[in-house]
Parts: sequence; C-alpha cells; structure tokens
Amino acid sequence: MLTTFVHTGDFHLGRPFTFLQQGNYYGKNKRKELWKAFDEMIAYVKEEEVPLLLIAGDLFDSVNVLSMDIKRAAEGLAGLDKTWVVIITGNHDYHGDSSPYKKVEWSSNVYIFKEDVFRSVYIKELNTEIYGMSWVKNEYRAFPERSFNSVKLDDTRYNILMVHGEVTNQSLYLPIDLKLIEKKGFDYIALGHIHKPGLTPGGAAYCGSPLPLNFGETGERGFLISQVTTDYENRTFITSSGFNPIESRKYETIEIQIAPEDSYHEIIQKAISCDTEINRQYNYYRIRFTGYLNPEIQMDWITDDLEESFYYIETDTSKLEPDIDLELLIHENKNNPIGQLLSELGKIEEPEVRKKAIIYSIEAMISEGVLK
Amino acid sequence: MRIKTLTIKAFGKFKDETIELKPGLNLIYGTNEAGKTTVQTFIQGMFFGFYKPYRKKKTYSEEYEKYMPWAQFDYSGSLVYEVDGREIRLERNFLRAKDSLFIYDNTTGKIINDQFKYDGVIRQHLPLGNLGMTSVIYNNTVNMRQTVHDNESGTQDEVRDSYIEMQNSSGIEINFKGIVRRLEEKKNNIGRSGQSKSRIGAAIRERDELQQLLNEAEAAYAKVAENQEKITWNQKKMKRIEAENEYLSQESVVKRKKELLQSYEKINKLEKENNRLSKIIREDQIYEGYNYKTLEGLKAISNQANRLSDQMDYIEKEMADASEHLKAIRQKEASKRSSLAGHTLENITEDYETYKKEQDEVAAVDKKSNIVINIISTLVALLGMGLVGLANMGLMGTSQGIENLSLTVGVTLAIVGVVGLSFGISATLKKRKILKEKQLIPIQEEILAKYQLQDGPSFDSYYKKVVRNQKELEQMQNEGELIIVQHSRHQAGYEVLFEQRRGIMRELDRKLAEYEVKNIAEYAERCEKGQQLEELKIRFNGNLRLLENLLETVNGGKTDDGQSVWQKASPKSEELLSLGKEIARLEGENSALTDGIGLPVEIQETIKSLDAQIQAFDTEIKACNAALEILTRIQKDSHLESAPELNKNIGDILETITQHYKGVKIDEAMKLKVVDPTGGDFKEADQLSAGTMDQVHFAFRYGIGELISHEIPFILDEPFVRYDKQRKTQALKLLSELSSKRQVILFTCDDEEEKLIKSLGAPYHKIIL
Repeated sequence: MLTTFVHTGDFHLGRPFTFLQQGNYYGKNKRKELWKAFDEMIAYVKEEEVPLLLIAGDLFDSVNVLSMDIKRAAEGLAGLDKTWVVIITGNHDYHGDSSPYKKVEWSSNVYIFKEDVFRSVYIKELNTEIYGMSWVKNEYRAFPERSFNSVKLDDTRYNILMVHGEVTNQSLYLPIDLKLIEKKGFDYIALGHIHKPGLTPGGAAYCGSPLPLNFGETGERGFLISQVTTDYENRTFITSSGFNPIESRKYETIEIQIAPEDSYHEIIQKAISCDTEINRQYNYYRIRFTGYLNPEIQMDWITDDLEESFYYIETDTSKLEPDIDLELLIHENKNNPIGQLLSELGKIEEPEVRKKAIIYSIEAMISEGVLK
Repeated sequence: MRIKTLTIKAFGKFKDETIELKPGLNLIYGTNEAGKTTVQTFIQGMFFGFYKPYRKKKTYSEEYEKYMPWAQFDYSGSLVYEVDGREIRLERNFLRAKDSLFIYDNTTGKIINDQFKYDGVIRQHLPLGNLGMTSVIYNNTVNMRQTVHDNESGTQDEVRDSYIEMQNSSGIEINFKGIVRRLEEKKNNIGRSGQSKSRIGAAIRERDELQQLLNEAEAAYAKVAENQEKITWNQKKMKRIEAENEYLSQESVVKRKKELLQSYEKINKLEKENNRLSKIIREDQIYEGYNYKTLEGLKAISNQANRLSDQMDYIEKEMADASEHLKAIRQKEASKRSSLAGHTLENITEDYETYKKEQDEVAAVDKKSNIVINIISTLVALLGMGLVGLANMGLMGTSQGIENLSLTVGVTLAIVGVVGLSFGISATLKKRKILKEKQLIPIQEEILAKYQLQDGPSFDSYYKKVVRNQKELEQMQNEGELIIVQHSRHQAGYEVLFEQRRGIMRELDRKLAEYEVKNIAEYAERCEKGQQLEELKIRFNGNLRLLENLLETVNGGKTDDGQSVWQKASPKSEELLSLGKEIARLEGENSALTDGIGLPVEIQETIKSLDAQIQAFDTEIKACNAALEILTRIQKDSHLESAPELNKNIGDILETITQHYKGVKIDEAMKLKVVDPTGGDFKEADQLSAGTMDQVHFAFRYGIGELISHEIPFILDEPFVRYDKQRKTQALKLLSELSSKRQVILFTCDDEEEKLIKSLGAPYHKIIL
C-alpha cells in the first residue's frame, strides 16, 4: 500500500548556464549545486524509505548530456533499493535516437516510460498504477488525447498520472487541458516542465525545478512529498501534499536608484549595501541601476569594481539615464553643429547605442571643452 | 547692466559683508586669501546658483562644496543690479534642500520671479535667462576667472573654450576634429574585431577559438556518448553471458549437456545423411512416376507384337513352302506332260478306246473318299485361319488370355487343315498308280506302234499311265490351284497380322514417348531408379522425423544446427573476454577522446560570457561609429572658416597689448596660432610664453565681450600677473576704455594696477577687501 511518495523533476542535470562573466566557473559551480540538490533528494528518499519516487521529465538538460552525468544519476537511483523510481522524459531529455536513457543501464527499481502515448506500470506491492507519457521528440503541439481517453482506471488502485507539459491552450510544449485530465479521476497528477512549483485543487501538481536556474526563477524551490491515506469507509484515497525546500544560491535582481550627485564611490556603496555580506557572497545578483547618472561618471567598469563584493554580479545600466538635459542642450545649440550633432544622435534607433553615442559624444565635447 | 550691491550673508569665509560697486571701472583690492575669488564666485552664484548645466536632475557643482561656509547653517546672500533702468534684487539661499531664489523689484519690493525664465531641473527662475545668459556662457565670456593653470596649455584650453563660446554666441560653425579624435580614441580603446591587441578583438578571437574547440569537444563527446552506448550494451551482454555461464556450469546442466551433446551427434549424423539424401532426392526427382505396373503393360504390348511377328513369320514360311511346293508341282506337271510326247489324252483315249473295245475291263477306283478328306481338310484349315484372324484383330475383345487361346487354336486348326488336305491329295495320287496292266489287239498293234508299245498290257499300262498321268496332272493342277488359293489366303492373313502389329507398335511407341524413354529397357531402368527414390524419400522422412524429435527435446523445436546450439550451451569465456576487451578499448578510446578536451558545457558557458562582453563592446563600438558617422556628415556641411571680422578685432586687441602679434587663429585641430609679424607666419601657441598666452586670452575675452548684449559687467580676477609693465599698461588702457561703456570689475592683489590706472588718468572706484 502506498503511504508516501516524492514527486520531482526538471533537474536539468548537466545544463550549461548563462553568466555574463567567467561563465564556465559559475556554470561549473551551478552544476555542482544541481548535483547537490539531486543527492539531497536521493538522501531524503533513502532515509525516509519513501517507496515511490516520481521524476516528471527533464531529469537531464539535454540529450547530449555527458555520459558520466547519466551514469551518476543512474547510480544515485540504483542506490534506492527500497524505492520504486518511475521516470518520464521531457522536452529536454526526450527519448529519441540519442536518448540519454539508452546510454547507461538502469537498475531494476527504475521504470522509464519510453513511448509518447499513455502506458501504465502497476506496482503491486504499493497497489499503485502509474500512467505516463514520455517525450520521444522535442515538440508536441497537441496532447495525445486519444491515447489518454482510452485509459481506464481501476478504482481499487491508487492511480497516478505523469505528464511533462504546459497547462495552456496552445504550446509547442505539450499543451495540457487541466480539466480534461482532472476529470479522469486520478488520485495524483504529477506534472513537469514549469519550473515554479504549484498545486491545483484538482490534485495536479508541478514539482518545479529543485533549484532556480536563472534570474527569472525566484522563490522557494525543492520537491513535493505526498502522504496517502486510505478512507476505507468511502473506499477512496486521501492525498495530502507538501513542499520540501532545497537550500541553494538564489537569484536576486535588485534595483538601485542613482542620483546625479552620486559619485562613483557612492554608487558602488549603494550597490554593495543592497544585501548583507554573507548573502552577497552566496547568491547571484543582478543589479539594475535606474535614475540619473552624472554624465562624467563612466559605468563601463562597474561590474569589475563590484566583483569582489559579490559571489556573482552582473549589472544592468540600460535603465540608467545620463543626467543631461538633451533637449535643452539641443535647444540652446540649435543654431550650431553641437545642436545638430545632438539632435542627430537622438535619432539613433537602438536605445542602448543611442544612449552610449550621446554619452560618448558629450564626454568628447566636454573633454574638448565644447561643453561644460 | 550694472551690479550695485553685493550683500554676502554667509558665503565662503565671508559673513554679513556688503560691497558697493559703481559704474565704470571697479578695482577690488585684496591681499592673498582676502577673498577676491570668493567675491567673484559669489556674483556668479547669485546669478546662476551652483548647479551643473544641462542636467535632468538638479546636481550641485563643485563650487557648492567649495564655498560652503564653515558653520553650514546659513549659505546665502543678495545682489542688487540695475538693468534697462530697473533695479532688481536677488535673494538666494544656496543651502542644499533649502536652496531658493527670490527676485525682487527693488523699487516696489515685489517678488517678480514669474517674469523670468524657469528651469524645471533646478526648480528656480533664471534672472539672466531672459538675456540668453547661462552659467556656461557667462564663464566663457564675461567672467574671466583667475588662471588656475600655471602652464601654457592650460591657458590655451581656456582660450579655446572662449573661442568656441565666441563661435557659439556668434552662430559661427566650429569644427569637430577634436571631438572626432576623442571618439576615435575611445573606439580604439574598445577595439575593433580583427585587431588582436584590442579588448574586443581579443574577445572575438578567443570566442572564435572556443567555438572551434567547442565543435571539437562536441564531436568528441558525441563519439564518447556513442561509445558509452556500446559499452552499456556490451556490459548488458556480458552480464547475460555471465549469468548463462553460471547456469551452464551447474552439475545437472553439465550432465544434461552431455546428453544433449550425444543427441547432437546423432542430430549431426542425421543432418549429414539427410543433406546427402536430399541431394540425391533432388537429383533423382526425374525418376518419380516410373512404375512396374506400367512396365508390365508395356511389356504385354511388346509381347503381343512379338507373337504377331511369330505368326507372321510362320505364315511367311508357309507361303514360302507353298511357293516351293507349287514350283515342284509345276515341274512335275511339265515332266508329266513331256512324258506324253506330244500326244494328248483325247487322242490316246480315242486310241485306247478303240483298242479297248475288245477289252472292257476297267478298274474303277473310288476317289470319293479322297475328295471328302480333301474337302474336310480345306474347311478345317479355313476355320483355323479365321480364328487366327479374329484373335489378331482383337475382335474377340475379351481377355488377353482368350485372345491368345483363340490365336493358338486357330493356328493349330489351320495347320491341321493344311496337313489333312495334303494327306487327301497324296492318298488320291497313290490310288491312281494301281491302274497299270492292260492287253493288245492288231489295231491295237497300230495303235501300239504309234505309241511304240509292244502289247496291250503295256498299252494298258501306258494308257493307264497316261490316264494316271492325266489324272495326276489334273490332280497336280488342282493341287496347284489349291496352293494358290491357300497362298492368297495366307497373304490376306499376313496382311491382317501386319496391320494389327503395326497398330500395337504405334501404341507402344506413343507410350514410350509419353514416358520419355527410348525403349522398354530404359523404362525398366528408370522404374528401378524410381523405386530407389521412393525408398530414399521414406528414409529421408524417417530421418527428418527423428531429427525433429531430437531437436524438440534438446532445443525446443528450433532447427539450429547442432554445432551452434552446442556452442550456445557452452560457457562463453572467449566471448566474455572479447567483450571485456571491447569495453576496455571503448573506455580507452573515450578517455583518449576527452583527454585535454574541455567539457562542451563549460566551453559554451565561456562563449556565452564572451558573447555578452562582445555584445557590450559591440554596442560601444556601434555608439562610437554612429557618433562618428554623424560628425562626418555634419562636418561636410559645416564651414570651417572663422569669422574674419572677429578675428581681426581680436588680432587688433592683441596687437594693442603686445605691440607685436597681429592676429590669432584656431586651426582645424583646435590649435591656437598667432601671427608673428617678423616672419609673417602663424606661430603655434605652445611656442608662446605664458604671459603672451594670457594676453591672447585677454584679447579673446575682451573681444567676445563686445558681442554680449546688455553690457553685462566684465569681471576679471588677477588677469595681469604674468604681464610685463608695458603690456599691462596697454591692457589697462583697453579696460579703462571699455569701462566707459560697461561696468568692469577687476580683482587684484597688486597696487601696481592702481598706479598705472592713475597714470593713465582713467576714473576708477577702489574697494579694499
């Protein structure tokens, strides 16, 4: 009888990451963190003797993931001698010609769905039947409804559905009609693909990625644990699910307001005071400067100058405006080439190029004494 | 315009200080650190405040901090000036966050802020805004601050600033060479792709190299993955084989295996034999269908034909005999006739009858019985022949046995008939011989002589003999006719038999052709082979069943050959070894493939970082290029000529002061040049002395001042420190001339100026700080 199970997925093991500097250094560390999360999850399952582990797709980031990574994952799962592991593949690690799942031997406690129609595996000792569909190519514009409709559930069993896709009408990533799948009467629906964890009242759940994978991914990450009890009177199962967070480096996007009177030093101080030293040396920071900047201050090296104060820092100065009243300048110089130059510069289409062209020109004019 | 009163409430070192200024030349005298520059800055601050120009956000300039009073609670003052006949009072608070400006009509005391231009950034009205005066213009024109630079180039910068301001103010085009140069420099610092020393060039080169490495790494790791798949497959296979081997090494399995081996040996034998058999069967397949029954039939037909041949042979012989017989009869006949010596029976009979009239004894011989025998014999022979004919034509059509019987009986009867007939004929001939003896008379003698006979008895005998001869001839004739009849009958019988035989032979040939044999012997041969084939087939099928049964017991009905099944059942140490070797080889290849090769993900990440850097550089380069492109475009349209009138004016001023240099020019590269009258050439400014540079500067300021409307006061802070006495006198003369048209405020620490002004006899107002 199934008592408890873990639902996870979207590990994206072996993923290459995007960092604006020293990409391979931070990428390597990030991948280490992914493995740490994986190992933690495995340790939890082992320690708690969780009988069932569901991995709802994208265990690996790509079909070209390194063999040693696949081996490591397979070894980790093989160590779970008291746990059934059921895996579906996702859009990243789809089971095609170069499927990562073909490259190593998986232990006998691991069951991998390998077709893109709904099949099931019944685990007798847990009285649990798991239905799943795997990705065998990298795009699904439609849900395999026919295959799904032909599924007949045995009510005496605890029934789980595993799908990797998006709850939406239209998508290249297997659009899922939540109402359709909830109607079927599954006791639990284990979804993958969306990295933000979430539960629906109908018993469908996105486990989310166990770690945030980029600056867009904020909030707590981890895996889902569900407890199953049997209501013998009504002959139903009651499932209650909870979230087990995994500690990891967070992605912080911080906006810092710059004033024209701020000196370069003050700007640096403002950036550094955005968080505690401990946090700064742990998390990933993207500092977005806004407001008006003294045009005599060069921000070209700001990232380098902040580097030591952070574990990882990237800066975004695209929202920062030089403190120059361009219109006034143009107006006051409307009869001379300065005005002509400035108004021409103002017409450059690409905003970043325009801003820089104006700053550089003004800088040059100030240096040349054309402007004060 | 004229400044009347400065009330410094709190500014720099001053507190509650009031300075009254007069129209014309004001000489403000102060020792070092008396606060001359402070007063000058105070005037500037009162008009403009201390804000950075062209900002979108209010930003304080450096002067703000510099002139902040020590107490820091108060930072303010007021200034009264007169313009267009109206007295205006400015009250300014400089203090950050409390900064404010109130503009009063000093006559009515009313605040008249809203009559002036408003600056949204500093949130203040601009007292000189209506006059078009900004702090920038002010500082570049009328407000001539103390030369902070003690070198020529610093002065040159100031001169150039003034020059540009002059051009701006006068709406004259300026050139952008310097700006272009700065932008080019900037761009070169960023670098262009392809330039190996530049930052972006290095980044691009590194990126491209990494891209190459990435391709290599990806190819290597793709191969590694492929190998890994093989390794996994081999490992699985090894595990299977190991498990199998373990099973195969168990005692019971070994025992069973021995049994199996025996079975397989049998199987092998059987298979070999069957292979041989099947080959023979395949080859002898042509003998199928030849059987003994058909052979018997063929033989019967052949026999029948043979019997007919025999009969035909017999008839042929009979016919030959008959022909011989007939020939003999004919010969006898001829001899008999010749014995008559030309007499005929009728003659002789006539003669004899004559002779015999007397002798009438005739012995008669019964011939009937002989004739009867002959008739019966003939009938029997005919019946026999008829039966033979019937049998041969198969008209009796019942069984072959009866057919054969009737044939035999027919032939026998025919023979009996013929024999009987011959007998009959020969008996008749015998009886005729008895008639021989007879007697003669005279006539008779004649007759006897005729026939050369002696006596009657001899005539009798002769006659008898003749009669007998005649009879014999007749008999022979009959016999000959009989033989002819018989011969023709034989002929007919023969033809019937011939036809029958021909039909049978044709049938036989047809059948032989049908069986594709030349003759019965060949058919018989094939029959024998056919028989052997059947036996082989039976044997083959028997073997096959045996083989199937054996295979069923040893190999679940699969028809692998015994050897391979046996090999399957043997522990596969060699295969294990070779799989192990293959795995080791693949692993070795994998480690060689990845040796010294970076991980693709890491290379990708480095590339991404470089791309971000390149992207940033690229934006910077694009920005420089865009600005440069615009500058080039504008430059084309712009006229680089300076205003000749202004230059002349400034040149005149310079000549007045220096009594030497005649003109100034700023070239395209923004370099200042002066016209040296001794050579007539332009002289680079950096070849000039510091003093001369100051004089050039002064000439500029003086010249520009004339362009500024509303005669805003000309303020100078220690302008003559590096002048010699003569040039200073000339400059002061110019100032004194100017002071008649506009207010001049001259700060100095040296009393020499005052002396010189006095000596020039010019009016002035002296203030001591």
